[in-house]
Amino acid sequence: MDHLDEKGLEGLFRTHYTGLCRFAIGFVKDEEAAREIVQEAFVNLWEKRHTIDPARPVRTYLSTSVRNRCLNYLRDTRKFSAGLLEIEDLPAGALVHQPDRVAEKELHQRITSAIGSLPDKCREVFLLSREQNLRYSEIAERLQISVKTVETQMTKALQHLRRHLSDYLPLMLLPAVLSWLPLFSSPCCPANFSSLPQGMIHFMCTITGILS
Amino acid sequence: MKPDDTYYNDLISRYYFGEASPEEIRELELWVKADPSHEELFSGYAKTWKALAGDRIEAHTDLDREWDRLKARISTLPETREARTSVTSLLVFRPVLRVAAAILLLLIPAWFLFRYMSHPADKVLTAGREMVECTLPDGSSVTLDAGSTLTFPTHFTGAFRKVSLRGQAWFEVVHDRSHPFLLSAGNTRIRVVGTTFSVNAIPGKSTQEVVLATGMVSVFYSDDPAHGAYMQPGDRAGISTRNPAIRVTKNDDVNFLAWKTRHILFDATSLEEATSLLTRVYHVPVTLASAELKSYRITATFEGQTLESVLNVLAATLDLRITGTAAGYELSGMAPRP
Repeated sequence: MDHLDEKGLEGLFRTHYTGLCRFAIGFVKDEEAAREIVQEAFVNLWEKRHTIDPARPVRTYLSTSVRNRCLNYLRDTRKFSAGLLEIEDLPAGALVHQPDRVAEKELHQRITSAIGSLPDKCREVFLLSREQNLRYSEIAERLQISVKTVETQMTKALQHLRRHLSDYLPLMLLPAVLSWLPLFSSPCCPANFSSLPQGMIHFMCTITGILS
Repeated sequence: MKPDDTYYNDLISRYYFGEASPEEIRELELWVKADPSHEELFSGYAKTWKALAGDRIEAHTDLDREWDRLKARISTLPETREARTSVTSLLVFRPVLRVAAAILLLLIPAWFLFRYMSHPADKVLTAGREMVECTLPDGSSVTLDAGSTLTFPTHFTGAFRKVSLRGQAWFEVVHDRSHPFLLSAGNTRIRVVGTTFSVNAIPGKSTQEVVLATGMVSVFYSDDPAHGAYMQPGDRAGISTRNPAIRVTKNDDVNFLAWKTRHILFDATSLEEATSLLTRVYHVPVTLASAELKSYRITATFEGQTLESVLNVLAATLDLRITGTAAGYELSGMAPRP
């Protein structure tokens, strides 16, 4: 059987990178960390290319690897909260197909116009966070305002966007998932999964056991 | 949840924008789980945020650039064989390593000694027979009950204001969001932003008690984030020394702060309960001479009076006699008239 070569890696990367970043940011809430985690998952895939069973779907491997890295990141930064992640209802795996392009574009327009309708000051603060990925403290320094003011404006922006997008969102959030993966159940993610059915844990252990 | 609306909306947005600290995430989790309406609010934001974050990733991903980044990374990866040679090359420097290790061995204890010497000394304050009021370095005030001990630094450093308590105290904590106040008392950990509350953590007792008057606090069992509870004003939390589950109920003990205020309210209270409260408030044992007295009932209000004047009122109302004992007082029924 042929193992993965650079051409093959590039194909996988171009197909899955964006979907995996979307998947990762759901957990880590930080764009840079999400991109870094996905890059690492591809580096790891490349390092293990000789030992990975080529018959298994690589996207399942990538998805599991990204999810475990995200949970490790949350554990290491002490930001892991099983209770909150559960309510956030994150997808079990990354997206297989590019989602509906038309719907995607329409959502993008809705978001752009909702951001456009924010009050000036609020939009200025929000865009520094969104476009330039600045922290609250960096925005405060840039605009010569207090961190508290930045926080107030960011909360206001999120509330405003929630109101403007709420009728539209339920339709958008029906992603096709590439694989069924239970959320909290593998040997390398933080402990405390006692509430999960045993079957799921065994399932995940098998996958990661083979690959690592 | 009206007064906390802004606070928790801010906390939710901090969480989604990646600004929340580990402690704030724990606090948010407790709050979200405290009420279905909180959960609904939080999950509503989850949908909005997911759409925003996904859209941002779609719009800003430059696949060519990201692929170049990955290509550069994998081109610098050492092969497994190369990894082994680098280990042998380390061994070449063995004598150097030995000297380095020796220097480190000398430096480590020196560093700890330095840390120990330069650490701001903790102040230990113990109230003797009378309660003591004190002000902490951040301006918060504490009333310490007789026999209780409070330990705190001469000045607060770091992200938290950490203090510890043995016994009973009333806290009025100055509001400072960026430096949460952390109190540890027995197994109880309390995290506060700015609030007033009382803590009863008397060593040897099987439960510790927190009563919240204003503001908001999160209470934890030891340092276990999984066993925490969120308290609202008027709540009482019971923390057992052995069982990590924290019980939060409405506080129905009007006399919970009587040790500090000396305001006592008896409302058809049994004499057994009344004397036990007086013993706790005045730190002087008040006993009953016979078991039949236990069920006598008393209704009265006292405002800042001495124990002796309270006892005189009880004696006059219930027709009792007060006798001084070695340590305190004993109440007995009047001898039947001949």
